[in-house]
Parts: sequence; structure tokens; C-alpha cells
Amino acid sequence: MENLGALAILLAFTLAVYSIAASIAGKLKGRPYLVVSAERAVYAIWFLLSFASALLVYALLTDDFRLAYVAGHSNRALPVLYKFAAWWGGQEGSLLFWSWILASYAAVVVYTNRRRFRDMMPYVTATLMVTMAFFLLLIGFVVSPFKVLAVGREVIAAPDGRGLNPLLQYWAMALHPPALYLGFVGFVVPYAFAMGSLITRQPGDAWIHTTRRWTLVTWGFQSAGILLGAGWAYAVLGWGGYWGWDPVENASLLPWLTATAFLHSVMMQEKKGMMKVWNMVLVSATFILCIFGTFITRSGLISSVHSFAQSPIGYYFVVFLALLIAGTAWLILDRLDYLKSESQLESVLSRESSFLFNNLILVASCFAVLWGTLFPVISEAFTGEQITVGPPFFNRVNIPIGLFLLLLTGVGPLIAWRRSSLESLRRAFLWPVVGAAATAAVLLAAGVRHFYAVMCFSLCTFVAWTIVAEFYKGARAIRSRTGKNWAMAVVELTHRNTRRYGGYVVHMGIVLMFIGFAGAAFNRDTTEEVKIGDSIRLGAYELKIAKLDEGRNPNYSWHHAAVEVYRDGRRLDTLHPERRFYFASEQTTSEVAIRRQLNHDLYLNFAGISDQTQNAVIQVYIFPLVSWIWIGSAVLFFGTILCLIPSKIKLQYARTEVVGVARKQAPVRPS
Amino acid sequence: MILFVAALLAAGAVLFILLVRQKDLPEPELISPVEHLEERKARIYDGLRDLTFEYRVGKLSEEDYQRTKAELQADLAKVQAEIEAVLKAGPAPRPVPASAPLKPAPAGELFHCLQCGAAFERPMKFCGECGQPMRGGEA
Amino acid sequence: MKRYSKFAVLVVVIIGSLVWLALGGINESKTYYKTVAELREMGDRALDKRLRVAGDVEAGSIVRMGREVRFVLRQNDMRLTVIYDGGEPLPDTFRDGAQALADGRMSEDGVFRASKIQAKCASKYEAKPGSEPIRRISGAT
Repeated sequence: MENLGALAILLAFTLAVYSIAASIAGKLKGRPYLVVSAERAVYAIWFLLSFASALLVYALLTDDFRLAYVAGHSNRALPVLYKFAAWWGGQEGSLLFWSWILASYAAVVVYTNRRRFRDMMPYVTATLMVTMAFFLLLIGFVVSPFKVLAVGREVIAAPDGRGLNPLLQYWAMALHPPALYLGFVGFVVPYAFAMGSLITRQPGDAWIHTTRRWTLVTWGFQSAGILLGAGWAYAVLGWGGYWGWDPVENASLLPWLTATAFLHSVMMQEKKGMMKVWNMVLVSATFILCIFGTFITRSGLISSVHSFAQSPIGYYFVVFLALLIAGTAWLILDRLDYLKSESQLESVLSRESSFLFNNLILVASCFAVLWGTLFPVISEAFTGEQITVGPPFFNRVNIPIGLFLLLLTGVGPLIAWRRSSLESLRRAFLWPVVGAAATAAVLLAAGVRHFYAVMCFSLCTFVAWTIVAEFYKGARAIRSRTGKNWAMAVVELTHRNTRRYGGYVVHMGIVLMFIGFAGAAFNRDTTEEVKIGDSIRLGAYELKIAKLDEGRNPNYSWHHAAVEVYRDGRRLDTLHPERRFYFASEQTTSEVAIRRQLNHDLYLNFAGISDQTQNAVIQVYIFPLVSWIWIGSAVLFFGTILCLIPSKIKLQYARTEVVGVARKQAPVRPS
Repeated sequence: MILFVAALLAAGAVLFILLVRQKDLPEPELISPVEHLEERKARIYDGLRDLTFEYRVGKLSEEDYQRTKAELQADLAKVQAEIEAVLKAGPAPRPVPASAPLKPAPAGELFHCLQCGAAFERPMKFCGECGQPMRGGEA
Repeated sequence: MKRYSKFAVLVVVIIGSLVWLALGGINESKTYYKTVAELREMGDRALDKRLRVAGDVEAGSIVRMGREVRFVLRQNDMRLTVIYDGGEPLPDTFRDGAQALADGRMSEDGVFRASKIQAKCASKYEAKPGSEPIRRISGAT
């Protein structure tokens, strides 16, 4: 059976190579038959990879431990959900999963454009298939998911598998890789269209309009993947942190930063015909960083707590990345004349300028994170010593960047194109600035002295005010014309221009998340050894240890504490932190107890048992405002979905006087 | 058994990609040479509409509104002039899209494009091959 | 071109501040990665640097004394005694035989005082290598 799976992958690889050749030959020689044949190959590849994936999942669900992969990542006692999730739990399987997602995306792209863009589609197909061929090369020839365990020439089956690391047996971790992959793989589509457009010198910006929704959805998945990972780290790892600037975390952040920059700078090209070269560079950089992130994560290049063993596939990635970078750079440089800008920057106080700074700062952050992540590699190459930099480096650079970005989020949408008069600036920003100053004053008066926290809260007020004002002004105008109530007016307003108002909602989500981030400046914690009856005090809480017990079951042994939470003498709740030791994987996990509230989380971790006294070691944390990060995330996704909804009024030609040309009323374009 | 399925897979894949019939080929796209300019025009109108809304809502000063409106209208005029120039320019024929097969001439009356010579069975306003206005030539 | 000069000045100011922050951050946190053997070689030079030492946790050597944890890092035959100040709970992956990284400073009495411990996550992406801990990439396969 595994032979069928391996065959399907090899067949798919052959078809991918055929597809590249047929697309390009068909285009250059004017043979539409070859182009269509190449597109059929894309569908066939999807079918073959679905077949291979189904075989692997079947093997996982039926505990087929003849397969090395199944034995390595699943075991009999594992719940069904995680047996399925083991598909992406290890190197080979996750590469197959990646390939299947890529094949699915490619099939959708080819199908939806089967009658359009005939000029550039062959190159789009070819670009997609080059990437496909690379990944199929890996799973076909280097790290096959269908390898069997063997002794001599006989295939053996392990009695039971090594199972999934219990740290990963958490719902967010089951979803985190799929979300991340849907995001990372998806960026090949805008990149492919950009390359197709560049190669054929398409007039106009068709590649941007066509891929706008793709880019947004992909970005949404990337964000989801990153935030799920953070949520998992917070709830499972026991130290209450959601981001550690670990190389693997950074690898997922890098393409997100350039993708965010890209989402904004394409608006400049759409509205003003500016930044064409820059957009090509950004979309290529995002795609290359996606591949690069995969490379860092899997190759063991940089040691990390997520670190995976050093693997031969690293070299393949390096070659592929080098070819990608070289090819893309040559193409862009060769067609610089085609990418000439149509307008210029006129004033520092303009929307163009704020977009430019937005891009500058996001790319600067990307560069800084990249530099910090690769520091051990670079320092070793130059000085012979391997030097790492830690969270202090990343925070020092990224906190000011984040705050500046927050400022731009408020300024950008309100400032006029080209040049903004002082009068417009006053109208837009007077009250928000007053609000921000008031926030700062209140905080300082209350004794808060943490500089960045005060800045952050003030800026949050500033941005929130601008967003609410936008909705208010717009809804008021609609109300006065149509007489609807406020709620309906806001809905109508948003529906008329979902890109703009959906974008505002996304920005609001970011503001809420920053409020959550700022809370970390006020974290408190304490660690104490306790026995039954002891109390721990932190902040306004008194925590009484009511029960301490232990036990075991076939899966794991456990230590558990029942902790009663008191505040001002009143009992609020009982929390149950636990520590487990899983036998199969010899892995300890802590089941953290969290009491989540809007103003702060009370977080209890059963850290261990003291060797000397056999007392329990309990850690108590108070994390102010951290729930706002998750609330902000939800708002962010809601906003993203809003942006995807088509606007009510689509590209209608307004009845307006055109100066200099005979008065004409153009027909309404069918939508 | 496995061998049989394997052979089936391989054969199926090969046949699927090679058996492309004439009717599976997509019809030639009628790309107007000014399509991207028309899109640009639509976007400028979009921008004008947005601008008017922002002004009504009170975000912009009178000065900014008038200035930006004038700039957008000038842009519009420029694009319109470009469109007319392209349509008038005539023979610098657009390269024919590679995926458009040249139809064999069927029996009966045909309408020919005077610019590139392509033949069609019904009278067309714009030639489907080169995009230039046809002057209603008959065979 | 005057309009560009205002813009250019701002860009330079922003990039300049970021570079300044970055350099400060590097100095504040730069940590030299050393194996137990290399640490021994460094001798006195090790005393004034922030270090991250890699080794395997020797089986049976983990002793918890209140908040502090004392253990031995091994590499082949060489041993290093480490005392961790217990600032954060030890990672769940920290146990006998695990590959560990200890961040901290070497003290004159030959004991390494660690302020942070990392232990290698039982990786999703497979096989644990042999006796050498995760190492620099140049030359190593």
C-alpha cells in the first residue's frame, strides 16, 4: 500500500516537470493544446496527492506501524483527532500536507482562470509547478512519508508508536500548522501572478486586482497561525509567555511583516500607479521568506527550543532559495522600464508618505528580526564564535517600531492624498490628539511611570478615537440622507465600502492587541513552596492550598493542587493546576490553571516537587490585560472577513463632469 | 492488486493530460486594447466618489477638496485621451494571444478584419484577433 | 528635489535610531555559544562574558534545593556543575539525559551560574542525534 503512495508522489513529480515544460513550450510556440495539457496535469497532481494523503491518513488511523512515519508520530492510545493531526506532526507528513495544499491552491487558480489571462497564465502555471516540483522532489526522493521499517529485507511493524508529544495534544496546536501552511503556501499565488505579469509585460495591474482576495485570505491564515501558536504557548507551556523570539517563531513572523507591508503598498499602486518595482520586490520577498521560514524550521540551521534535527533537506532548500532569488532579481532588473512609476511623492504630510513610512518600518522590523535570528550564523561566519542575541535585542528594536506603526495606523487613513492642508489635519486629528494627551495625563497622575506603556496606551486612544470618529461621521451622513437608525447606518456604511471599513475594523483589532501587549509591563509573579493549608499572596489575591494529591493512569502520572482563590475575604473560585508525566514519551507537561478576566488573568502553574522537602512548588502570575490580545485577534479576523465581502457599489461610473473632454455619460459596468 | 491500481493510476494520469480535444481549448479572449485603461478610469471615478463622501462628512477642508478633485479630473482627462489615442492609432497591431487558434475558414460568407485579416462568421465591431475596429468588410 | 530631502532626513533619522537601538540590544544580550569542552578551554576568559553552554544533563544529577536547581552538564567525559537560580520553572523537557542549554555566567569557583535553562523539545521533526549536542553548522552535517 505504501508503494502506491510512493508511486503517486513520483507520478505527481513527473507531471509537475511535464507541466512546467508544456506551459512554457505551449506559450512560446503558440500551441494552446500544450497549455491546456499542462493545466490538466495540475488537476491530475491534485488527485494523486489527495490519493497519497488519504493513504497516509488511513495508515495513521488504522495504526499501521509498518510505516516508519506512523510509528514515529502516533500510538495506539492517541485520540483520533491527534492521529489525524499526526499527518502534519512530523517532517515527511507535513511536507506531504504542504504539497497537497499547494496542489489544491494551484488547481483552484488554474480552474478559475481557465478562460482568462490566456496571455500570462502559462507562466503562472509554470511558476506554481516549479514550486510544486521542488516539494515533490523532497518527499519523492529524500524524505518519503511511506518509508517502511525493515530488518534486512523484511518489513516489520513496531508494536506501538512513539506517539505525539503531549505538549502538542492541544486543540490550538492541532490547528496551528494547517493555518500556518494555508497562509505560507498561499503566497505562491500572488507571486506567480506577479511573475506572469512581469514576464509578459502585461499592461495594467491585473495581477494585483486578481490576487487581492488571495493575498487577504492568505494573510488572514498567516495571522491565525501565528496567533494560535501564541495562544498555545501561553496556555500550555507554563511560563505565561506567548512570544519568545525563538528562531522558529521569528521564521513565521518574517513573511507576515512583508505581507502586511505588501497589503498596504498595493493600494498605492492601485490609486496612484506608484511603487511598482517595490511591490514586485515585496511580493517576491514575502514568498521567498515563506520558503526561507520553512527552511529554518526544518533544517536545524539555528538551534532553537523548537529545534528539529539536522536534516539533509536543508541543502536542497538552500539551492532552491538561491535559484528563486537569482531568477526573480534578474527578472525585475531586466524589466525595470516596464515598472516605471506614474506619479511621485509630493509632500511628507500625505497619505503616500504614511504608506511609505508604514512600509519602511515593517521592512525594517523584518530586517531586524532576520538579522537577530541569523546572528549566530553570521557571527560564526565572521568571527568564528557563535553568538546569539535574545529577547532584549528584539524587544528594544521592535517595541518602538510597533509604537510608530500604531501611530501610522491612526494617521494614515485620515490624511489626504498628495498634500494635506493644515486645516484638514486639524479637523482630523485635533480630538484624537486631545484624547491621547488626556490618557497620558491620567496615567501619569495615577503613578504609572513605564514610558512605553504610557506611550502605548496614549497611542491606542489616539487610533481608537480616529476609527470611531470615521464610523460616526460616515454613519451620521447616511442617517441624515436615509433616516436609518445608527446600527443600520453603520452596516450600510460598511457595506458601501467594505475595503475601507473592514480595514478600520482590522486596525481596531490591532489596537486591542496592543493594549494586551502593554499590559505585560505590569506583570507580577511569585514562586513558593507550599503544603496543604498554606497561603500565597499576590496582588489583591490570597490563594489557599486546599488539597494536594497525586495518582497515575495508563497514560500518565500526575500531581494536582486544588487552590482556593480569595479576594477581600470573599472566595471567588477554585483552580486546579496539575503536573503530568507521560510514560510513552517520557514527557512532563503542566496543566496550567488560568482564571481569565478582562482586566487580568490569574495564572497558576504547578512547577514541580521540591526534592528536599517534598513540598509542591506553585507559581502564581498576574498578567494584566492579556485577554485583550485574544479579543483583538477575533476582531482582526472579523475585519478581514469584512474586507472580503464585495462592496455594494462596484466600480460604477459616476455622473461627473470631465474637464477637457466632451461630456459623456459612460454606461454602468455590469458587475 | 496493488500493481493493477498502480497501472491504473499511471495510465489514467497520462491519458488525462494527453487527450485534449479541440473543444476543450478555451475560446479566444476578446481583449480590448484599452481594457486596462478603462479599469483605470473606473478607479478614478471610484476615487472621486470617495472624495465627495469624505468632503460631505467633514474630513476635508474646502481647499483640499477642490484641489484633489481638480487633480483627479485632470487624471481622468489624461486617461480618456490615452484611450482615444489607442483606438485611433490603428495598425500597431497587438500581438495575437498565443492561445487563440486560427479558425479554419468555414464555407459561406465571411467577414474579414482589414487590419490583420482574421475571418469571422458574423459581423463584428472589434476584431477578435487584433482588437482593432473592423470596418464591416465582407468576404 | 527639495521635497525628497525632507523625506530623506526623516528616513535617516528613523533608520539611525533603529540601528542605535539594535546595537544597544546586541550588547545587552549577546551570548556566546559554547560547548562544555570549549568552555573549559576558555579558562579565565570565560569569566566576563554572557555564555550559553550546551551539554547533556547527566542522569541522576538533578537536585532541587528550594528554588535553586543544581545539575551536571556533560559532554563526553567532561562535566560542568550548573546551579540554576530558579527564576522561571524549568521547561518540561528538562530531565535526565536531555540536551540542555544553560544561559548565564561562569563564576570563579568553577560553577556555572545559570539564569535561564532550555532543554531541547522532543522534536516533531524527528530523530535525536548522537552524543554531540546541537552545534554550529559550518562543517557539521
